[in-house]
Amino acid sequence: MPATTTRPAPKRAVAPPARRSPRRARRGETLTALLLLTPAGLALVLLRVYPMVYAVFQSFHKESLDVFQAPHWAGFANYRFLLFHSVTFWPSVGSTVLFVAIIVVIQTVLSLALAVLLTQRMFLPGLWRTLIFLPVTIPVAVSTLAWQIALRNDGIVNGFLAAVGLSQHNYFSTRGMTYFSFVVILSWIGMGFWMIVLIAGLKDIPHELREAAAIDGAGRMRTFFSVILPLLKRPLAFIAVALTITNFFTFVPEQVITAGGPNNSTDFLLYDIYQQAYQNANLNLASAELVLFTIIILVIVGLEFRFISPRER
Amino acid sequence: MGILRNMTLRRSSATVAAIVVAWLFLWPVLWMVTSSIRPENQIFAYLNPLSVFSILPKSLTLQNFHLAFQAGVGRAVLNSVIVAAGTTVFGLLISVPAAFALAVLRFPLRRTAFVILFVSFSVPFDLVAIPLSSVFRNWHLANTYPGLILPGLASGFAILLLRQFFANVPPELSEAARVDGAGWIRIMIRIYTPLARPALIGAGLILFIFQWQEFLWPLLIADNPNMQLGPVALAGLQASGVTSTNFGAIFAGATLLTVIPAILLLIFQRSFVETVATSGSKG
Amino acid sequence: MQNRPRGSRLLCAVAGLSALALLGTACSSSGSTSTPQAAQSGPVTIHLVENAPPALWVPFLKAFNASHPDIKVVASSIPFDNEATIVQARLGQKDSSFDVFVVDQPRTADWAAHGYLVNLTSAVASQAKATLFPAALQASEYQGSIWDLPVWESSNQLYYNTALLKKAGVTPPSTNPAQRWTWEQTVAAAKQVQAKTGVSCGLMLEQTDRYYQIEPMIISAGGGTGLTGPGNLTPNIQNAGWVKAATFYQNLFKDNVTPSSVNASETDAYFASGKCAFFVGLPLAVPGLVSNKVAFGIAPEPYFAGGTPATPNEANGLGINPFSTHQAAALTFVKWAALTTAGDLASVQGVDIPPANIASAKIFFSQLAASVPAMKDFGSLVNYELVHTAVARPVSLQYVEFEAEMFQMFGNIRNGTPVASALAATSKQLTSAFQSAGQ
Repeated sequence: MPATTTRPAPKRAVAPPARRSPRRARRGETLTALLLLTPAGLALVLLRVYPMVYAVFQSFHKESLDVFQAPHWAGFANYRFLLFHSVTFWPSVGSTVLFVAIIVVIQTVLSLALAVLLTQRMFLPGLWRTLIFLPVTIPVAVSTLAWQIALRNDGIVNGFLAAVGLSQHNYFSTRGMTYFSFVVILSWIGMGFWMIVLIAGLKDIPHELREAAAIDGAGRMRTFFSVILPLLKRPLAFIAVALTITNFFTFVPEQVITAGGPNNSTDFLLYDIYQQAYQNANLNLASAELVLFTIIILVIVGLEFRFISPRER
Repeated sequence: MGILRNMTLRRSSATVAAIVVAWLFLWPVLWMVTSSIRPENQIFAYLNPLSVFSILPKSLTLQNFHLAFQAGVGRAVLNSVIVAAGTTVFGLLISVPAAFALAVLRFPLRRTAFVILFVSFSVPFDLVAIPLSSVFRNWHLANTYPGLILPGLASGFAILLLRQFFANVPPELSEAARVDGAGWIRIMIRIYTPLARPALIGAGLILFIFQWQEFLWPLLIADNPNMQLGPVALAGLQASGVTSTNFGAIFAGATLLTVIPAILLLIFQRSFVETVATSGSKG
Repeated sequence: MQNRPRGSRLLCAVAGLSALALLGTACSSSGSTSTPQAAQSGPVTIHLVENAPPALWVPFLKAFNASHPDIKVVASSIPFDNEATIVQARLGQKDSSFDVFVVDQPRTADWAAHGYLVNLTSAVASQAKATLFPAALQASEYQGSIWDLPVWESSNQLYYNTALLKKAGVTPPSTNPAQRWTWEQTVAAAKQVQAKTGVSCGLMLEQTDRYYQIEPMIISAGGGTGLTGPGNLTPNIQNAGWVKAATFYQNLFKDNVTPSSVNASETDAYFASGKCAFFVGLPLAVPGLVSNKVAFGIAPEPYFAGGTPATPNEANGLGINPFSTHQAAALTFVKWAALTTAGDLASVQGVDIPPANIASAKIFFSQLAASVPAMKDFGSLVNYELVHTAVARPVSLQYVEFEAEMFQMFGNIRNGTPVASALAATSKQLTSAFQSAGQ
């Protein structure tokens, strides 16, 4: 039995019974909303907003050499340093934005392709979907380590390439190769998840629409681009934004494999901040960089929203 | 007859494509798992040139698991399960009402609330973890389950996913219930939540997996060997300046850490897809 | 642990947003003295933070707890790559929940200057000078004071695969330091073995890209440590010695003497599986060599012809947390661990790193020689190197940043970046980084 969209017949109410005045109804709504939002709100404020405020606070201070002295007010000194004097900040911004642009495009297309494939009529679709999703459940550090070994010059990937007569490569020698390797590793880790989200979106498209298009004589490609894709706009937009943010947070591969290299090409922002905070123990500078990082993400995501769904939000 | 054969052909070719893709995703996992049951000195022995022994172990051993358990990985995996399960349950308990309020109810500053939510989602937690860890220590939450669980509850992502789903539910459903005199909370529990099964599973999976992967927070706040979590215990098996990396034990630990979510996944994947196939809401 | 009145706990919990930010600092524990406090009575539990697999410390702590009924040491483990940074973060928050912690000796200056270590000089100076290797103790000193006590020492030797050398007709190097091979000789022999036996790896350095490993080569080439000037805060990495050593390092990979993508955590296993002719490093590969039944020999670490021999040095020490409330007990433990023969010997049961205590080292070497015949000259070799050729890492407040930049730079050089430009770029980066820290 094909899935049908069920929509309950709208109740033919004459008029809502005037048991409550509209204003009181709205106040009731507000109070309920407040109640419902409180636990999450508290969690967010305490566990996300407060540390962020504290970080902003720290970014305006500088440490005194002796830990027994309190940090002193430094105004915008940390920001000035990052924006005008740091040798690593702007290159890091550039690398991060470049990498995110590349990987978001690739991963959006890839997850869509996977979703389309795995919603075709086939044998045991659930099994294949599960296997593709499996890497999502492995701790990222472990997957990265395993891939690093697999991508060694004498590793299994080169072994396979040699076996089929293709040329072998050094996968972390240049910016281009390293970005390629990172895209492979991160996509392997994450694509299963986004594929599932898009499958849900695809399944929501009523079968009648596809059938109608087929009856009208549209080929499969045409159906896909004219009928299905527009209906996927919402989940695709969501995925594009989520992918952008997730990939801005790229951290583990450059920490485990390349230590920011080669030639600082994988010194992405989050890694740079981590180095400032944990390695150089310059928490104040790290906080300032964190604030700038957050602003950059918000600006880019804001632009994305504008571009993708200009209507609401 | 021709149509049937055509359909079977299409099904088969789709299946083959799916198998190829699934294999691309599966082989590293397979390599990790088989490496965990082979002697450590054979793990790197057959990688290049490629042979069947690259993946198939020549000899089997449980030594790696033994070493991993000795190093406390068993206890750590158990802790990971407890913490991730707790995060999922309590995380959903606070995310669902919040998402409902943001999607369905009307109230002043609704936009602002959404923006705050979104901004906090965009802040990388690991970097603001330091001040938070010192506060948690002062509140004696170090080396405790609540201390490990709490930060994982604030998942802007889960709330966003649920909110998106709730926003797509046709308003007629709630209007009808309101006309009948139902309170909002009743509507949330009786109508929206059951409909939201795929989103609940999605949000639950997000909460679980994020917490499962957490590394820096447990590092900061749980150094007692009895309270360590899986990923941290695995990192402890790496080279320490006086010992070299024990890859066999690491792969054994990684296998353990993969098996549990994999089982969960198998259970939920089926119901997830089933529900989606018969869901009543339009995208 | 501090006792906190209930009222202030509640206050912390309900404070508003901006108040929270300020209260955050107020609520954290306050600092304390920087010298050991007076002795305490009654059984005391002290917490040790260390960075090795927990199993290593069990016999060690057991020995201490057995011989000191009034003090109990409980250990917690932070993975090696993260331990230093996490401990630093916690000390920066004035955390008093741990008493003793492992200190990576080159960080001593940095941490001492920040007030993260208790000054131990008055309590241990004479005993330390009498019982520890001078090279080891020196690494724990800063501005004339002792800030932590070394428990382990380190040294590098040249290891070779007996069977491969025999097959290639190469005479193995002798263990006599007077007949030490040069780097040039070593590479030539490595290439010969590769040509004659077809093995893919001629020479492998244990810690790929790490300054610890490459510093002796640079010093042997006459380049100095790379930091000069007052406080060792001025980079000096573009001189002839640096260029020579860096070029040599690059050529190892360019000429395929060393496979170029085996990273530092995998090198021991690589050599232990018998795939390399020569290996320079710590004895960490020995257990693997023994279990894989790969015959091997040892020799002194090579040097550059025309230069002086140099070997690496320094390992971990134990420091006392200045915010600890059990500093006397902590001191008892640290003194036992480093300055007593039994204590330091107990710390190396299960590892193959020599103890920093001279008397313990003697026993350790003879035990090792008894269990692994190929290591019978290891003890005398290490003794010789520690006295004659060991080099220290530069004592500098910016050492950590320097080390990180070095790792990046050598990675780039290994991958083919022209040496001169890599050195120049890193020099610029170091200068900028040091400036930002000093602002």
